[in-house]
Amino acid sequence: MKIKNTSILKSVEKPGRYSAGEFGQIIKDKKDIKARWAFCFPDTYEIGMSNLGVRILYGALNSEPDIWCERAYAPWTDMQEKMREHDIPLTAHESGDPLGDFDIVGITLQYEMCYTTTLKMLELAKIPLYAKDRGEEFPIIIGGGPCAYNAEPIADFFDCFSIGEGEENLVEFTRLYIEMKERGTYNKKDFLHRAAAEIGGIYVPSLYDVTYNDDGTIKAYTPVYPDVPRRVLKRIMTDMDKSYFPDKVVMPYIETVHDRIMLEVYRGCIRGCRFCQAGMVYRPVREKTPEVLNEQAKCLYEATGYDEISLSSLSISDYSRLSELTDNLLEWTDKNMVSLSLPSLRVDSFTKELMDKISTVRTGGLTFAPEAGSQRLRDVINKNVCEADLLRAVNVGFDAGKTSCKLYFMMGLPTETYEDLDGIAELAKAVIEAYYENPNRQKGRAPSVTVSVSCFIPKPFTPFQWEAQDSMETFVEKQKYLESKITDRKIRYVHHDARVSHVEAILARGDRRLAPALALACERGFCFDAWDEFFHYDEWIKVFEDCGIDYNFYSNRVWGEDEVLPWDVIDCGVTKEFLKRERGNAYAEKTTPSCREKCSGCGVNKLGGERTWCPKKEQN
Amino acid sequence: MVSQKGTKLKPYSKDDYPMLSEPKYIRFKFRKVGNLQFISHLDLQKAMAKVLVRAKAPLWYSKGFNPHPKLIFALPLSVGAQSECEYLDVRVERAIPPLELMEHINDELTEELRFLDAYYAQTKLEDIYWAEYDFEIVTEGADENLAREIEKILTAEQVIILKKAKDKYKNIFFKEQDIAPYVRDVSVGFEDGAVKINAKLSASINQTHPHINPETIVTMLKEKLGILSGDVTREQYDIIRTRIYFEDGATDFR
Repeated sequence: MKIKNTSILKSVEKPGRYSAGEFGQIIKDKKDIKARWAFCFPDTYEIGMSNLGVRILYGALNSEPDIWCERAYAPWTDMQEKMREHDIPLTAHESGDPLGDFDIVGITLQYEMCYTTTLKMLELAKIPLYAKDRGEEFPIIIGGGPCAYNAEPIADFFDCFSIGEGEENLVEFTRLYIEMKERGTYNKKDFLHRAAAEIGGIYVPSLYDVTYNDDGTIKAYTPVYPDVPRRVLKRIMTDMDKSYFPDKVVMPYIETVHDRIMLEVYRGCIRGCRFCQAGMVYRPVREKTPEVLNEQAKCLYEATGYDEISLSSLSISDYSRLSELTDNLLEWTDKNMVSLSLPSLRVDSFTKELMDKISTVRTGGLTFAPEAGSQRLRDVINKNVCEADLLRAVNVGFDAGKTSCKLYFMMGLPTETYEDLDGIAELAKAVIEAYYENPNRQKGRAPSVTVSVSCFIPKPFTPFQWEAQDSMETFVEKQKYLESKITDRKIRYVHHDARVSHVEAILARGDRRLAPALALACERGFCFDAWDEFFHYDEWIKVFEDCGIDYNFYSNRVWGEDEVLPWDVIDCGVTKEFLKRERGNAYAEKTTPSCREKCSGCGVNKLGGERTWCPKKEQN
Repeated sequence: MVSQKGTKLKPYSKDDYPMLSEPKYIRFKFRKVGNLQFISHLDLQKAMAKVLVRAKAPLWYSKGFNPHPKLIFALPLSVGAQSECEYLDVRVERAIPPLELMEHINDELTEELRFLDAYYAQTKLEDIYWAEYDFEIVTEGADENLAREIEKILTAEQVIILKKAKDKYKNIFFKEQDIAPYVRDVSVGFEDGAVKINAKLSASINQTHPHINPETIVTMLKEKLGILSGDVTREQYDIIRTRIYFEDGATDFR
């Protein structure tokens, strides 16, 4: 959103969100441009500007001379009011042109709770919500990001989705658009048909008929044309060393959520935790080499001037050449006053050596995610860490003078019992005891342990995708129970709002029949549902009820393994057989080795990939 | 509207310049206008540190656990005010010619934030005493008479503003303050449909004398005259700081 009127800017909170003019923003001459993109992030500027994916795709699209990609963010509610008052449509950040004037509007879907903000952005842009109501005069609306793996609840509002990694696929998509425009063969319907048929990873929901069984489950997804794939296979960048890398960055003038260099070390994850969607859909693991990473880090440092480099990946300590990488980086970062930080560390990889190298670990508190309280349940979810690992890790921290530790857990996991909850309280207690038993601890200071418990949400493309979420009553009961078990005042207990998790679970496994509810939510003014202050559970439930939707059908039901799933139309590379097998292992409390130790045959190796742990697919 | 990064100057390294026997302050004068008026002082400080790193400035870093460069901004500008004369002192450890460093810095900036002058600081930022501002007010019914009225208010024996304050219980209340001694050289005119005010306001970096925020002048006029209360799409005001002076109010600060 870019606003030029200074009086309006002077009347809203944080006007720097809308004033634009950042160093490094890309301005192109419209007369050289054949296709204009508006890349939307359905949340605030500060959050959107911190997203690495947007940075990459903004750069990738703009590296094409005849494509101009701009950015757009959701204006905060005070600005939304001003826009309505003065009839100002949502505009793009660089040119200040209304979104409706663009050729293609891309919307990244990072979390389910942004769906209402997404629709609000369309509404503010004066673009009709339903794809079927949009004529040729409106832009093509394309979605992408992790939620696109099951975009069915919002499928009716989009013309198409980009499935998987978009660096190549979005450019091909835009090329086809330009080609058809230039040849005079363009109309929206034909374009979408050709895109679905010719470009890998483009899913056009309107090209599939969905039928339902009497019990409400899905009967079939049927392509309406023979040349449209029955299942849309996700796209990946096979060689991460050669994959597009943004060497120029738009530098926000106002503080954003992540004001640092984010160095993407590898994609995918070797672990296979059974609740984790990212761990499945981003497969296969594809590493970059330390040499390339070091060059990219230097380049980003010179282009941004940031004083912190965050090594970002799903589980950074699983990078096979981490020590080499950090050594290379430390050769120049230290003397330039640049510090290294790691977003997440597994307890089994937290060492003294790593701690000395990484400043966030040096200065911040300890944070670990055992996820479950008992070894049995950790085996069920395939977390592959044990209590001894955790105690060893916290002792490394205590040796170095740390006194506080934060532990993340999940509640409502499949097979969970009250003994597993007891395990959470006991684990926290064990950490406190470990502190007092540690002879090197900071004398005279009491330890503090924060136990943070979120609610399990069954997600598509995970071994737990068929599982039921606990009911609200069960969650509340379990939360109270755990609270009663934590009596030590050195242990702080916080838990996520189960009501948010409930709505998230409904949307995560939703199908196209949820569209009217989302449209009604938008009509009733829902927006920023990822923000606590704007989330109203009772109103969500009312929306579902008013639309006649049995919402617990999506969240609290055990789905049949032979059911057609709303996301069966998408192929993320990992086979359903593998997910079923993993589910069986979960119930057998059997762990599965990481990709590095042994291939478990998830099937994703059909996509190829360089510097991966996958066995090469046999050529037929 | 927004200039893009120009052609890169020839590559250079800060090691090309000899170390100073002791670190010195380079004083920069810069402009902060247009869209950049909406960037807060705190955000500007953070952004500027990154700009200096990008420009490979030979920054002096504090010694200690968490080394950081030393940047001193002269007069914080409130959000919504523009300036042609911001001052920033930067401590450097190498003998780089200030104007050369300025060129490198400008290569890392957009038109709306641009460095205009650079030299080794000879005076103290505390010596700043007066700041000159241009106010431009576009409001319904603005005319020559409104300009006269504003002039009368600003040149009266007493110029009373309401100043926000907190009592010992942190309750916010407004107290009256006479700022007449801190306003000088006022001229008001009416031109191209806008009331234009030029005035010098007392300015201070360390509260040895009052610092008058130009925004309070506009707030006072709004309250006294009911201006700028109509349609925001047609009414607006701009504040631009144009010059900074020593105590005599006539000699340009340098």
